Amino acid sequence: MIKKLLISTALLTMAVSTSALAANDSTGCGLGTMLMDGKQGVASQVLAVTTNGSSGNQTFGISSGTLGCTKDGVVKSSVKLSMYTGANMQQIASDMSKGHGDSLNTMASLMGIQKQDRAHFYQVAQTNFDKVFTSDKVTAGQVIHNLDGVMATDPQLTRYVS
Amino acid sequence: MPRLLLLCLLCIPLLAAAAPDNAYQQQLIARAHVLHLAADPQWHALLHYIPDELDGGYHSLAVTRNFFNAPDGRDDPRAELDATLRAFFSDQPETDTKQNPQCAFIARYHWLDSRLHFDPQRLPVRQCPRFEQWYHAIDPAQATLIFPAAYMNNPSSMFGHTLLRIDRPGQDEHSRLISYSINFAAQTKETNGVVFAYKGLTGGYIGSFSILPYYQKVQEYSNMDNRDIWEYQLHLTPPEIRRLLEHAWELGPVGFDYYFFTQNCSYQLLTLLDVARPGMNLTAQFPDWAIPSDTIKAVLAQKGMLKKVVYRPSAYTKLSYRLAAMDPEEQRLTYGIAKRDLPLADTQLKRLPITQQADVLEAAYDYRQYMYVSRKWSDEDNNLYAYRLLSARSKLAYTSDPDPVPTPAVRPDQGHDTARAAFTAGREWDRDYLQIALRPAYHDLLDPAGGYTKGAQIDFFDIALRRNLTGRPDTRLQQFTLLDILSLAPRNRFFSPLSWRIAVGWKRVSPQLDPGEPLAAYVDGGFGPTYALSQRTLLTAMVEAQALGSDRLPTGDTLAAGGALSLLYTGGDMNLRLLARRRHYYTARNSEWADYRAALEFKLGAQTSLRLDAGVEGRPDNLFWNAALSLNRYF
Repeated sequence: MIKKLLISTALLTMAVSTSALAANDSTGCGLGTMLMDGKQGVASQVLAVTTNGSSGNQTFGISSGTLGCTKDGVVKSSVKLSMYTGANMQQIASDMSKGHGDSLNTMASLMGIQKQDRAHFYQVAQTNFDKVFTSDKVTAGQVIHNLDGVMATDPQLTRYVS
Repeated sequence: MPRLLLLCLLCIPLLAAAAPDNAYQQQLIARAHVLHLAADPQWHALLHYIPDELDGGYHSLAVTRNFFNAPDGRDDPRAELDATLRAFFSDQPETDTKQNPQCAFIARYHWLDSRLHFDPQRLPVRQCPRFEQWYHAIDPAQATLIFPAAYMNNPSSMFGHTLLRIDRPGQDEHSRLISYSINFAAQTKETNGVVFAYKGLTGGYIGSFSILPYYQKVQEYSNMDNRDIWEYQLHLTPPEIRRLLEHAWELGPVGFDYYFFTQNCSYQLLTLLDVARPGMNLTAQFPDWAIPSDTIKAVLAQKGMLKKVVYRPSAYTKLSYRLAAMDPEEQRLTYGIAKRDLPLADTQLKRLPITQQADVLEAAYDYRQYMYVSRKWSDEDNNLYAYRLLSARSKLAYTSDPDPVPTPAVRPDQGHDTARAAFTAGREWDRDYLQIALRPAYHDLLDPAGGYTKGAQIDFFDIALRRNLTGRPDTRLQQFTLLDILSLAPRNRFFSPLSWRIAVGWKRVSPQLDPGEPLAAYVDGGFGPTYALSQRTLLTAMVEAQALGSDRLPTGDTLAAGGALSLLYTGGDMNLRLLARRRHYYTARNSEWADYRAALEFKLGAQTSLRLDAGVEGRPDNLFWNAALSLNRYF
């Protein structure tokens, strides 16, 4: 009796961290199984795409229908910015309100903003936070659009607006 | 002979379609045999062959049929090499669902080419646009080994996980989120931890590689799991990086047998590095089990391998650090605003200097998100309020310190090695003894703390042999610990974790409980609060229970309940633990039990420490002095 208890306790305890060494199934191009509490906009739409199982001939592509992924599981360059923004909305919003942070920096690099213009970009983004994040339900597409709008009126940043 | 026939049959479609240069095929195969390429370590690395313990042969850890060109390729390196060379003559054009073997096995192709010098006239070179597109999307310039440290209050995760990040050219430390990472994991949606542990230990899962944007892993580890991340940038040459990616490409659709302790994530990452730089033989160093931090040490032991280390504190670490630096008034405001007990336009807040206002609003937002993600708060309009917090913060024209959390003095790869031998001389129950104990893994709270997660202990398979010197000398198994976990997580105004412990194993019953001192199975558990008296001092109170079982106990199985109070001081080179424990045993003769002790450990060198453990133990009316002096050697 005690022996059984012993073994099962050992197993149970190890199981306390199901994460040690093994994560959940990670989908290619990677947007299937993440838990995204409180996420808004594009991210949740992309996340809602169910993974349809993989065919053995694909390389890293997992779900044939994932938006914005190539069949071999990398992000298409045309949607890089929107997919990144969608997946990092909270961090970008938080960085923008503070005027610094890795998530905002990475966004700036995806937008092609030169190093010498970054500090100014952060300041403009912080000052215009309400114009970029217009509500708590804003989507990634709207954020990028709004940011473009703000930058278009700034002499130093207008050249980055596509 | 039958095998040859089979291979030829397989070749027929190729023959018909491509009319390959048969003579050249045979010539290449003969040359490969002369050069013993099938026995070359690089061939074994590329195909993930490991030696069979029984018959001296080899088998591959890969289980996917398409990974091999020969029908018996999984068990026969030479047949696979011959078939691979033949396959390279295929004229299969690349489609969305099919690749030419030169592309599907692009690392093998380039290695064999480097050894056999293929004649492009006789073995036409195929273009691999899908690979090239993929390669350029990843845009590799550098490889970084990523080690997420343990979860808070979960010592089992100290074993951790490793993954590889492929950095782009021209990035700085603040724009690496967009890099891709290569991750190996068991493929499962299992949420039942017990099932997961059982199947993970027994090989019930298939593991496979995936490639994901690094920001996703950072979200997962740093923002949701609250694990600090260590990034080890490696010095690999451009050709080595190219080989690594080519091999990763080959592995995309491949499944592997997955074992929690042996063929796990960290082991499989080593196979990628072995392919990238032939001759390191990293996987061969881990035939029995692969603890992630040990695999990092093995990689960094390669001369000149480490370029730079970057510490990425988790959202929780940053928040705790920030909260700890606040004065009580700021803490009160932060908590009130996060909890919505105070309005955003609180007059007390507005009276603070702008720097402190920013600090309070940022911390309040981070704390709210932490409580929301960890499901302790569940306001329906969390997003709206979080948004208002950010909006209020953005109105303060001030940029706070971007990176306040200091990097820990000792990195995980610089901590003591995970196995420990302990040589002890001591006295217990009025008898002197000598003891030798061996613990394969991992860390207890008295071991030198540098590089390990604070307040986290996990020991596996600690076995002790003791020779009693007083009275009739005898040598016996003193104890065997299956598992011993202790987690001390301090509580404060903001966080309220419960510390806990569990230990399972066999140990000698005290002579006061049973004069025969039989070996009894035990399960020990407890939980309670911990408070930090200082940065280095933790005070813990726990209620505890114990189950003891042995056929040889006159009382049969027995249960005990009680409590313990302990104080842990963790210094740089010295740790101290004071413990007071009381227990009541529910046996035929109900009995009380007391244990008061102090343990002191000094770090003598990188891999050596000295431990003194002394106190009184026994029935409260009949306590015995005991003391033990141990020399610990880590290896």
